[in-house]
Amino acid sequence: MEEYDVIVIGGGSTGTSVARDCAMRGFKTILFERGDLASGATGACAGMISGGTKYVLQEPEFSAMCTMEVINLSRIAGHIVFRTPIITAILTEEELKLRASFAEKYGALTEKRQASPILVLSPQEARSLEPKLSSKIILAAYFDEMFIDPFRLTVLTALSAKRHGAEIRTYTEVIDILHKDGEVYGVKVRDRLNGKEEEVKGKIIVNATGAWVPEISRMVGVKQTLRLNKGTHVIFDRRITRFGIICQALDGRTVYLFPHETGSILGTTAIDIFTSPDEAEATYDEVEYLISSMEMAVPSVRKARVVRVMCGVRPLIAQWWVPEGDVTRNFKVIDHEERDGVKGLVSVEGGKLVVCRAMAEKITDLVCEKLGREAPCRTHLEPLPGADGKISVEELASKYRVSPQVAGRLASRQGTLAHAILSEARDERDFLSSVCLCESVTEAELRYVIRNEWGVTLDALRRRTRMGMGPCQGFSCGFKAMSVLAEERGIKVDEAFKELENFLAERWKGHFVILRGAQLSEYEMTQAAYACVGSIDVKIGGGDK
Amino acid sequence: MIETDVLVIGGGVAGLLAAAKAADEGVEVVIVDRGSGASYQSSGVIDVMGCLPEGEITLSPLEGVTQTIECLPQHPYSVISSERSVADVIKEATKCLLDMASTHEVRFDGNIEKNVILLNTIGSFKITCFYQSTMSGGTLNKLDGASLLVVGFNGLAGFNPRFCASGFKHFASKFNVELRKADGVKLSLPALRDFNLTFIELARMIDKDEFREILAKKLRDETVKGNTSHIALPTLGLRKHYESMRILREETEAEVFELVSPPPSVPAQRLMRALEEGVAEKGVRILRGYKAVGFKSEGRRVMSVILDSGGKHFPAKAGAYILATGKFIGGGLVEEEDKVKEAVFNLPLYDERGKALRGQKIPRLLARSPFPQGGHPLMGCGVKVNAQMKPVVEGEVVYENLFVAGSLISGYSYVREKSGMGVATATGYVAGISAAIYVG
Repeated sequence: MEEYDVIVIGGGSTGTSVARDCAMRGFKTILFERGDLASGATGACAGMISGGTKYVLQEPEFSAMCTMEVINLSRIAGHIVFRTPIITAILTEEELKLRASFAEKYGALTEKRQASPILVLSPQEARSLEPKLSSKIILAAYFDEMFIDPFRLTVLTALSAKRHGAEIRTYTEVIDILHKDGEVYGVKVRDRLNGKEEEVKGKIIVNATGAWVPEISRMVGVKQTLRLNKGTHVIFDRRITRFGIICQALDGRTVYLFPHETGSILGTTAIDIFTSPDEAEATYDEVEYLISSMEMAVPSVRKARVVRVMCGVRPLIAQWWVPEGDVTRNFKVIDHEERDGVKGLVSVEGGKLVVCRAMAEKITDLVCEKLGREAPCRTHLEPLPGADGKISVEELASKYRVSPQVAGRLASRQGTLAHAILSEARDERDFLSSVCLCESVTEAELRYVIRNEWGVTLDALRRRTRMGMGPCQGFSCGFKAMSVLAEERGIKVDEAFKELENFLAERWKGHFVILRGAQLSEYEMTQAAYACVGSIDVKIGGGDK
Repeated sequence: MIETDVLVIGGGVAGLLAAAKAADEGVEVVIVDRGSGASYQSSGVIDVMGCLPEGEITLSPLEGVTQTIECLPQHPYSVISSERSVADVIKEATKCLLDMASTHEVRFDGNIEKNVILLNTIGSFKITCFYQSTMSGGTLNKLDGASLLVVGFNGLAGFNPRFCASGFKHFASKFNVELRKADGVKLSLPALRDFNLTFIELARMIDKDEFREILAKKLRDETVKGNTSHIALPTLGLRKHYESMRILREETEAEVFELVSPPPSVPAQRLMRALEEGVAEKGVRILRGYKAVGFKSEGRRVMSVILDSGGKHFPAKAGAYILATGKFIGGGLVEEEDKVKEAVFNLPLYDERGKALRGQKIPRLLARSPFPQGGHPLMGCGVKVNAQMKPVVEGEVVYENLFVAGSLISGYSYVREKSGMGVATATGYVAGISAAIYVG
């Protein structure tokens, strides 16, 4: 049995960052993720990387760390970082007082954050910039924030870890932690695609499983409590507004509507949950809460086309007796040797997307200390794959004779790697056909992520390329991608169709809660095409003869 | 202002058949259509009943119909059968449709006594009893022992012949049919776009003599090389499909056939064009781009329907109205405040079991899995009709001069049953007769 220095459990933004940092500092590292990369909270967030306006006053130090991380992420993953201009729409006098109090302090930090200063706008000014705003707003404020593609961040971080020698194992669930005499020495894992189980030895185990941290710790008898908090987003088919919009929710919290990729994202709710995070799902009430709140500021959101809903679970530090919004977003690295007498186990509580790299740095510092190695952190300096230079979309489009749309979308996901992907299609021009028309995903890109980015399921292809995330929600790309995946991975026909069903079932999770307007037509098309033409729901009984 | 004997709202298969039948009875008919509906998005074959309520395939469509209406007394097939044998109605209705199609170059094979398995461009299969004769060479029962070549084209998007070949072998064996061999090949032909070529574009190319000639030569080489007995193509053309089939068969000496494909499918475009020409020949006027948005009534009579064309509203008056607007794709059902609503007349809606919808929100009519065994309750919802296809509420006719046809009718789920075109045809036929009798 091979022995690793570090076993990382969890393939979200934090886990992959830990694997990357450990590998870069020379540790023999392996990461296990029971589903796909970024399939937990990372993949269910809006991708905002900032201290968040609300943390500036409450936690200035943490906010400063966030600011630093925005700069770091822009440096190492520039092609997937983007700036979104935002208008805060104020609807009541009470809200105005509240907002004014931090605007000043927040504004003082904007220069350091490489962000625009806050600009106060009259209702007329705001509405001329963003005509979708309600005529009822009494004042508005303009600022901007940085965002990142959380799926790509996680995959690129994992790729970087791999380049530095780490092993990344997706769809591999840790089913037990091996421990003896108060010391962990490895994990027992099960490959969820083929059912195989094995034991893997390691000196340090890092539990970076977010909302699942307590469930993993329980394997070694350690009791750990988090404040698990569910957040739901509603996804729309197009950009409803030009600007991101922030406004007060019906219950006094804050909700936002951000232009996001090809659509818009409305969020979020915050509901404490007391069941397993596996059971968390978006509800009709959450959708209505979000839309009813946002329509005060943007009335047309009510009639906009909802494509789907998604939810994730925040692994907040267990602070109670305060509303969710007042719970710190800072993180705690737990040395379980110190806290519980379990040697070799480290976990992390709390945190948020923007500090994933910083969290990993702290954790890896602790790993260094425990394994007696001195190595500086370099994760904030070295660019992630594809982020090592600028890329010209026009040049890409003309060089490979693809549309600027296809070139642009590819470059936004893959950065400088776009050249490698398109050059593979030089002799196979056929591979430039679009598999997903909603998101301009070519067969070449799919084949590339299958070969290079752990694209082992259709769901994984979706996260890496956005295939199936547009209005048709997998209707027109599902079966095409299935045949590509089957061919690339040598999957048998029945397994391929099972995989297609899994993919459609995963998409369906975001639909059965809410299915409105034009999306119903898309629903009927999917039902008819896959059941009536594709017969995927048919039980084969007798013979045809 | 439109004035006619019968106004058909909706130009899909149900509406076209209703119009054809009413015209046959000697009344004046106008079809108004907001655009192209669900029939254009179909596979272009006519299925009557593919699966039993538990989801098992039925080999006999008529037996399937009998078993289904025993379970679902509100099924449109059951409603039809209250006055005449359902088998007779379906036979007459499908004959009417197939005759009309065949006089306009879209011939069908198959019969109502037997379902067949057709292969599709996804790599799986489709169950149906009537199919365009371009597909006949490839019904699964004829492929036992066959040496099949699945032919794709470089540049053609959304069709993977190699995967399909292995899919066909797999599914054939499930039906106890052994393909001796199934291979997939991608041909590189000049004059084809090198990527993002659509099925329709390919069909237009195959219609061209020069291209077809090159294709025939290539196919002959492949056939000889692989000792091929059967050749499956994603399409055989948009207008000259018979000519192409004949020439390719002669050249290759193999059984050349066309696969079923998901929307937008070439066979569906062919079928719809043929049916449109068929009804036009019967003197029916088809007005495109007219959407029914409201109506006027007096008591239990519809007096006029309000049409919208490019934002302008005007009335259409008829003696009888046939509503064939379909479900969500066609626009017959719409969502309002998360509830389902009939779009034109706000007719009361019922579920598959014949129970009135009482303001259930749409999520309540959806199962938690995308393709549950019994289907989604939502797909069984629609308008309840009597034997003349008049909408009813609690047994009472809503409007005496209004008739409904097609998937707007409640009591069945075409998704689960694979009965969409059959029900559209049969109910369109009955609605057409009923409306003609009413005005006559």
